[in-house]
Amino acid sequence: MTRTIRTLICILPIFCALPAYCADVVKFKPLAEIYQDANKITLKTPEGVACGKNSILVADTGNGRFVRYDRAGDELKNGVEIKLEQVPYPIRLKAAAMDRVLALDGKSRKIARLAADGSFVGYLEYKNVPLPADIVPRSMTVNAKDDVYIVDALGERVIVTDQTGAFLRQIPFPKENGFISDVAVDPRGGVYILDSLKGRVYKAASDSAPFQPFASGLQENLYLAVSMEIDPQGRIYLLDQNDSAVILLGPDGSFQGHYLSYGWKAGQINYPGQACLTENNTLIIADRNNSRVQLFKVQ
Amino acid sequence: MKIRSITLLSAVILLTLGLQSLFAATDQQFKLKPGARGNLCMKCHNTFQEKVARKFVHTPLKKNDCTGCHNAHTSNHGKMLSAEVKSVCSVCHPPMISATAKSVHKVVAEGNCMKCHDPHAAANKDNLLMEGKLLCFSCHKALGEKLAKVRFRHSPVEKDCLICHQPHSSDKGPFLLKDDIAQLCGGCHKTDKPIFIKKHMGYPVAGSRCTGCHDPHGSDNTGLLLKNVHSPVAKRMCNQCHEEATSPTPLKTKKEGMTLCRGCHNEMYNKTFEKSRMHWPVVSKNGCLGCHNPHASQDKGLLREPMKQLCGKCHIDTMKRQTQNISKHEPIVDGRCTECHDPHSSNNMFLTRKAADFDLCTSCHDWSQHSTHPIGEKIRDPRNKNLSVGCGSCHRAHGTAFKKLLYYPTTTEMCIQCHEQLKR
Repeated sequence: MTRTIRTLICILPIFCALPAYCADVVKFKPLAEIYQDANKITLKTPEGVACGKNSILVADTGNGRFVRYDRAGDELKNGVEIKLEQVPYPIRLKAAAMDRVLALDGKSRKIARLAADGSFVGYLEYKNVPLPADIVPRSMTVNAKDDVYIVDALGERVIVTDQTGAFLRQIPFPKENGFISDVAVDPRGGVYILDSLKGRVYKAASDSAPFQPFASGLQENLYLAVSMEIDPQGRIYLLDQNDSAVILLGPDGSFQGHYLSYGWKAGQINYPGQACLTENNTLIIADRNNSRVQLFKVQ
Repeated sequence: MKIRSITLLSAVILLTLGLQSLFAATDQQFKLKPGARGNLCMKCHNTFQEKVARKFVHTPLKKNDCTGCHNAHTSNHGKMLSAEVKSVCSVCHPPMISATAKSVHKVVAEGNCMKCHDPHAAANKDNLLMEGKLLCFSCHKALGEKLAKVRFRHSPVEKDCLICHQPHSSDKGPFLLKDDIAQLCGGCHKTDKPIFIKKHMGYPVAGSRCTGCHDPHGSDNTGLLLKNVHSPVAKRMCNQCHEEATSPTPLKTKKEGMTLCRGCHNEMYNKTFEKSRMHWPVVSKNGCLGCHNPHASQDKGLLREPMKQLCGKCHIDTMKRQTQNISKHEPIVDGRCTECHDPHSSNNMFLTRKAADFDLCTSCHDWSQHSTHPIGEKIRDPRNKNLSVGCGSCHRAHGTAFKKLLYYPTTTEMCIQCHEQLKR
């Protein structure tokens, strides 16, 4: 009897610690793969994806079109083709309020504003932006107020405009930057940029603050990250294109894990282009070189 | 004053005597035979007699103190050294790399002192293995061979590399240079002399980086210009790109960024921008100058560096993967990146010159020599219905850790990825 009690006392802490341990471990559960639109036209090297509240828009880059899927929870339906002559080569998307979308065209390097139904509203026309006058957008994001944050590869800065393109402010890249490929904003207004070459994330605590190193020393875990998403808990999802993986960082910038791997089969990714996160923690990846879109439940 | 000097001298003498007696005591304690720290060694190692006769002898050997570096009984290190080769020299010699060094000689950083110095004796000062530039060219062979062939050699190179370079590390410049490039060159080439001003078309280049145009060692071009010279520079038409030499801002370019380059390279500019996928550095802040030197270069296309190094500066992971390859893909090893990729823009993924990988690969690889596995647009990949089977379905062009650039260690493992029914 005494022995049994002793054994139980020894085992009890393990059982108590187990749920806490499991809560910290993040899992990526493959949910679905999307290969085609409603007309069974296959996707070709899709590079961008935007998660709206009721739909997701895919930049079907190789086919020079968009495909809009209706979203019900984690299920994607339909798949309506949208061809826009103003955006012949979409490479990156970002969802804005009311299911509107910003789309970056790789050829013209202009940011187009699309309505919720995918129709072309107009280009983002920059107004009163300080020199250099030319802007080469590499990526963009929007904050809760619908202000647009643009990575300007030419001017080495993040330009902040309102949704019509009127200049609000700018934040220069850090001097020692390699190549900045994406920008994200957290719910508290912190602005993050991703340095693909140096494997670093910089953060500006607010729009008026300069960028400071936030997560560095990631070179061991990062090959060439190209896309960044932040969840409501402040965790950062880096999509590593050349390593075909997702790197998860904690809210403090600490390395939390390396997920997914290179390959062709379901659940594997191949030079992904962009990822977006839905409100119910589904990570949707434009699996570029697999010519498909994949959905992963982050648990 | 005199008393103080005498006191100091006495102290030194006493200390010396003390140390000698300590050694003597140790020698007695271990019952060492006279000369056991060196002279005795020579009885067996008699070839050292020849070394000792050389002009420059390493101090411990001169003092017959072989135990200064070697352990007479046992050692974990080669040549019975009392410490690792890397650290044995630093027991007596101060560190050769300063804390503020801008450049460090690789052999010094690696602690390979004996690549240049003989630890016992040599015919050359500082126990150098060879004299002057001969020693340098024993490693820097390519430079030595090049200098043997070129028409014009920079006169200091004929004498001694150490006129311009430091042997161990430099606090002042890159490439172990004794000073900042402009200042180092200016030490001999007086920039205020009329001939200098005339040769540089009156432009104030005293503070410029001379090696942007000139090869500091030697060249087939007059004025030691680099191998490939940008046409306006060769024609001495600096004002084609820069403002006039007499203007208040003579070094300023007439236009900013790639707009300036477009003035002459319009056709190339249009071809670049009519394609869908742009190499991002082209449209970044440095534009053309991110990869090209506007004045002159040793490399074709006025590249800032040989292609392998230049591309590898950004594509670090790609180059790293290549180093891990068992089978090497020749164009990558040789740095011929543009054989497959367009460095400016392309309509294809990875900026390749051809859309389909089998079209690209067969421009070098004879398909008839390969297996008869069907490939092409119509052959679907069983692993992913949206993909067709191409060379890239089995091989990774930039390499893997396995033979023949395969994704898996054995052919069988590779094949069963698709042919699952054959899996055992």
